[in-house]
This record gives sequence, C-alpha cells and structure tokens, in this order.
Amino acid sequence: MSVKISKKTTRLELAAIITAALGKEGMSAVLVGGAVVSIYTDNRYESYDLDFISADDHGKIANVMKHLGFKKVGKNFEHPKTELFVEFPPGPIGIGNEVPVEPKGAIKSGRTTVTLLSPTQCVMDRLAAWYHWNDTQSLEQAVLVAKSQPIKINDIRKWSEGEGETEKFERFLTRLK
Amino acid sequence: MLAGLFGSETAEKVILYLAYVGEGHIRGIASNFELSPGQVDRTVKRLEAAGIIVAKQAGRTRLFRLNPSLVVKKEVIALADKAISAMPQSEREKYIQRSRPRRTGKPL
Repeated sequence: MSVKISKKTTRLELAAIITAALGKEGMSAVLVGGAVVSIYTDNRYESYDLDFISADDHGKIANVMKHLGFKKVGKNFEHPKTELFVEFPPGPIGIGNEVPVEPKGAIKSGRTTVTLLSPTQCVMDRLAAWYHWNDTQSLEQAVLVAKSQPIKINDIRKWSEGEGETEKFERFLTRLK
Repeated sequence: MLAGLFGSETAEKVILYLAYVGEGHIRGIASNFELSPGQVDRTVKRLEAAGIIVAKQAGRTRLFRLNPSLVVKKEVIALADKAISAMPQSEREKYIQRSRPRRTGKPL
C-alpha cells in the first residue's frame, strides 16, 4: 500500500495514518504515553515511541501495520521512512490506580480524528509515574503539558487524593506558578 | 547556591537530590554529579549521623532517603523544589531522572 510516511511525518500525522488504516478495517486504537506529551507540548518533549492501546485483535493490527510498510521488530513496529516507532502494549488504559480509563482527547489531522488522552488525563498519567515511581522526568513532562494546554486542575486534585498523593500534588501546583 | 547553608557543595547536592528524586545510592549520586564515591560516602555518613537522611539495604546496595521523621522534611522538599526549578537547565537535568519501568526491549 502506498502511504505518505516520510521522515517529515509528524507524530500526530503518523497517528492519524495508523488510526485511519485501522478504521478502514473496523478497528480502533487510542494514543497514550510519551507521544501524547510530545503532541501537547509541540515537541518540547520528544518521544519517538507511539504507544497505542487497542482492544482489537493484535494479529489483525499487525497486518494493517505491515500494509502501511511497517516491519515488526520485537514488540515494536518500525518503518524505513521514519525514526518514529509504534507499539501496541496490552490494555486497558490505566492512569495510576484508575483502570480502565475512558480517553477524553481527540485531535483532527486531515480527515482523521485521533483518539488520545486529554491534556488533563495526560498530566495525570505523567504524575502517576512521579507519584508511584519517583520519576522526576515524568514530573517535568506533566509541568510542560500543564503549562502548554488548558487542564482541569480540580479533576487532577481529586484524582491525586484518590492516589493518596496530596502532598506531591501540592508540589506539582507550586511548579505551575 | 545553598552550599553555604548545607555546609558543602556535596552536602547540597546529596540533600537536594534525595529530597527531589526520593532516594539514591552512593555510586549513582557520585556518577550523576561527577563526584568521587568516597566524597559522597563521607557526606552521607555525616548526614546519616545527624539524622537528616536514613539508609535501607536493597540487595548489596544501601539506598538513602530523607529521614521520614525529620521535623523539617516537608520544608526541605519545598526548598529543593524551589532551588532546582531556579537552576539553569544544564544543572536541573541532573535531578531529572527516569525511574518509571521500561519494558524489556523497548528502545531508549
């Protein structure tokens, strides 16, 4: 299949190409992880890894990816024309102790709507890694997203309380000032 | 910046690191800040004796963290947050660590 994947293809464009190709076969996937941070921060954080969660048959997904020109290397899909790589980790989508999570983000690229975590969910997702793994890189990403996109801070506060992390949430808040 | 307050640059780095990152071991901290392990070892012994940090054994490694019973623990963490966010990016990066799990085989 001839597709317009090149080294200039952005993360969002690539996500849209994959979303559209899956959609043609009646399948769907949600973009999660670092690529969402890249999209919401205009690549101030660069992730080369597009993680999609899909409830559909991974064998059928692999066929679609193959038709798009991807080759499976280990658990990743790699394409000769882009340094971005794609993975379909097992679902469901979870953010901290909240599982499953309904994705609330959607961005249009061309005619395709990519489903992804919303900015608020993306911040929660990054904060979860900081809360539970002391991952300060994720804190930086949460701050970047929160400063780049409108977020629902009260939702994040409530979720943080549920995670038992009110002190760290307050530290996150001070970083936004 | 806070070396005068903490007594030495090594103590400043060790305290800010443990307050911000959560925990660390001697070789990791030494390598992160390009210090000698001996220098870090002497500092953590002093801070441990003073009750500012505590250690736990994880396999053959001693992991240090701020003493949970330290009366000013919250304030030290707030100080670290503020000091680190005011640092130049090159210095701040030394406190920004990836410690979340990464699936085996996942490219860096």
